[in-house]
Amino acid sequence: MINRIKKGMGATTGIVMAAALVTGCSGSGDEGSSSTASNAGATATSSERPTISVIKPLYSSHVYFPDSGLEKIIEDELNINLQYETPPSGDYKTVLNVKLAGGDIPDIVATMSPGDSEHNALISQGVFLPLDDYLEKFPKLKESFSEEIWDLMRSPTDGKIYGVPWLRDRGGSGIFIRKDWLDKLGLSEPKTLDELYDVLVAFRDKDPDGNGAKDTIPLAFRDNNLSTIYPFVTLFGGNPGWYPESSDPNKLVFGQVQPEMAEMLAYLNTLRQEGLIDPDLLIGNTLGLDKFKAGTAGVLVGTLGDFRQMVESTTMKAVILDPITNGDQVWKLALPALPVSRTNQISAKSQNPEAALRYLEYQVTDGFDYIQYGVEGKTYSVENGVKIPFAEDKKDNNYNTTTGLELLQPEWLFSDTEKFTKFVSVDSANYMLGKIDNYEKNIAFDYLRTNIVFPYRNEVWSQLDTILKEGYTKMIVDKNADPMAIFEETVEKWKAAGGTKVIDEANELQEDKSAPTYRYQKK
Amino acid sequence: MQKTNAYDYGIYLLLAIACVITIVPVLHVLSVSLSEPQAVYRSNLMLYPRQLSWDAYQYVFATPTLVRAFGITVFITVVGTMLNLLFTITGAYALSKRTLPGLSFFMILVIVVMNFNAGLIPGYLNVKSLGLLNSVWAMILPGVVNAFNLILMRNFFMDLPEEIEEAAKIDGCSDLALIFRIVIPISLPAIATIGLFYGVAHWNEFFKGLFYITDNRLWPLQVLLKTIVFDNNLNSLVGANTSDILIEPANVQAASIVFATVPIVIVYPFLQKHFVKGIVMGAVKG
Repeated sequence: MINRIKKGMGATTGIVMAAALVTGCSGSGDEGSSSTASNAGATATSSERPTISVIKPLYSSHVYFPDSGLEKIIEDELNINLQYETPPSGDYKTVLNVKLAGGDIPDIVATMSPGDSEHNALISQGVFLPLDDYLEKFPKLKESFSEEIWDLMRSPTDGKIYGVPWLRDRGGSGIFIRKDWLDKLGLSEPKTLDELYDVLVAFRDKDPDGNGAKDTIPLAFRDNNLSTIYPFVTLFGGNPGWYPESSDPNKLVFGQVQPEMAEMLAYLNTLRQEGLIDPDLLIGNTLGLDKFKAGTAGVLVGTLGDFRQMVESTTMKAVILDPITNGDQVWKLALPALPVSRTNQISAKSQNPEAALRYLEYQVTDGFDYIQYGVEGKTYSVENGVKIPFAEDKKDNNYNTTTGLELLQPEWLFSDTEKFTKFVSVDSANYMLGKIDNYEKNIAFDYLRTNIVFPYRNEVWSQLDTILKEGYTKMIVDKNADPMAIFEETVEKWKAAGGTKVIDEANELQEDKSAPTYRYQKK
Repeated sequence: MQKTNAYDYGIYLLLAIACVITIVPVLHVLSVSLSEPQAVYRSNLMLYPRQLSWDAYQYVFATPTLVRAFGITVFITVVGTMLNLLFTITGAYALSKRTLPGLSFFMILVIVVMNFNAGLIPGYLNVKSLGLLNSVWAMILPGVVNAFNLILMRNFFMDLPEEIEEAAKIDGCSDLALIFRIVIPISLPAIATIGLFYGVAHWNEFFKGLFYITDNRLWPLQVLLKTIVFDNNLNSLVGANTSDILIEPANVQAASIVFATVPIVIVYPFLQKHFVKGIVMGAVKG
């Protein structure tokens, strides 16, 4: 008995030692230097250089390799030390909150402003530095965005600029279709909703992938969020955001509780019951986007920018449909009032705000190629003046931390083929930009200016959103219930839970009820 | 032996249902991880692999990130559990002695922290001012003694017959030898139990890794797993030379889950044998 125990203990000690060997260098070795770095703001190796700490979320398909060769090149060029923290996007807000509450504010903080009320509130709490005066010293950074965009960045409270924008990608939801399947079944590209319906039926019944089984998904949606299906409402004359009432242009209404929404959801319920929609929609966990890419779905409602992932596929031929119509309604892009998805803000406590801004300027000027592509010969090559990244497994990972380091893109990039030649050929890039231009002809703007502080809305919004999510999911999924009855019930519940007050508050606090307009400047 | 009646069959039925509910998701994930990539999108619930394929595992094992995170997690689990047990056993043993001066005072301290938690932000500030941020020790040292486990252990020690210790003392056993040669060997069932509690908690460590570790090279397995499965970020795994493997996110996610779950599941049977009673009783009678 005792012998056996001893033997067991010997084995465990062995494991401990082995584990210590494996992790020792990465674990305890780093411990000393990095903890002093966060306390003193400088590493031992190069104490004269200012340290710029950055926190940004790491999104799907982004990577960050700490202390990469690319990072060192940039640090040497700018004579700074970069210290990145990249929490996973899903937990980013929580991690940031804990850090802020703990008084640890990195020099550059990527916030979700102006779309996120919690982060907007940080401005009035004095967490971030107003940049108006500093920007004058960085003319190239200032010129990277139009006056129009800088004006949109102004805080509605005091008119000052608190951050450098990460602009929203152009485009929005569009419809992708398998051209090879259409050809095989002798069908043409659908132009109206009714024609699309016929195509879906054909995809369901006629085995377009030719594997002898009736297993294709006719219509899939990008992901399992309600926001992925909302753009569909524009075909029924609706708008998934806030917009002025037709009878009174001075009163904003919320599109997600308007009757057009019910019509759209009831239509999707019918499609689902006829087996025309991905049965996983809203309730499964595999993404429609992945299914379409894997060749199991025929039509995808996806984000136009996603098309780069399949435009050069060798296993299928997909195309972007031009905006389809339904009666006198046409598919519109649902766009927010402010074209900014994130903001790089500078900590009010930063020891060196100018070095931080110099780094931001560098990312859109001299350092553009490093940040966007890496190092020539290591991660990309230049052919006919076009920078072409190597295949992912051919890249030298020491110089491949571009998505991790990137904090902003200059405004001109969004209308330039270079936006997509990073991923696809010039022809494909032009095709995509052409389609985006085409879709941008019809826009359903969300009139709500999210950078205004709406205290009541902040308090109840997530709860209200849950009510809609539950009700609307049921409207699409439930086979027996009457969708219209559920809709009325859901909207009543939404209003009673504070929706009415939210509408009143929005109308009261947002005096400017004009239509948002903005255009991205070109090179 | 009593005869099985309808009541027993009712219980069997309930247990069988519970069993199926537990096993189906596990089977599903396992089958997805072993299936041909495309097949995953053709069926909703898979209980057996379609077109068996090891590609997803090949991919997962080819990535240095997941293997490194695995190493970190093994380290904090093994070292952490050792430290947990050391401090919990010695602490509980002292608290189990009625002769300990200030016993009730110490017990109040333990009971207070068992019921009231300081919360996330004070915890963060504490770790920060101890200079532990960004170190594997930040995932080991905070909470090295769990108050609940301490009390569990203490109660077990209090139930040990004093006669055993008296007998040992009469035979000339020192205080230190008493705990290591007598008390610990006869307390193995309890130690195995709380060791398992601690070990599983370390294995599943997520929050400490998320908040206290800013360098993603030190991320434990669960934080990395979350970015792969929930944030759908397969690029967390880059570094794999996988040009020849056609891979789908769903496969890799499932394979990562299996990879992160299997080791801790394997531990259970080994500890199972310690969940036996009767050692103590035998010792007194004998």
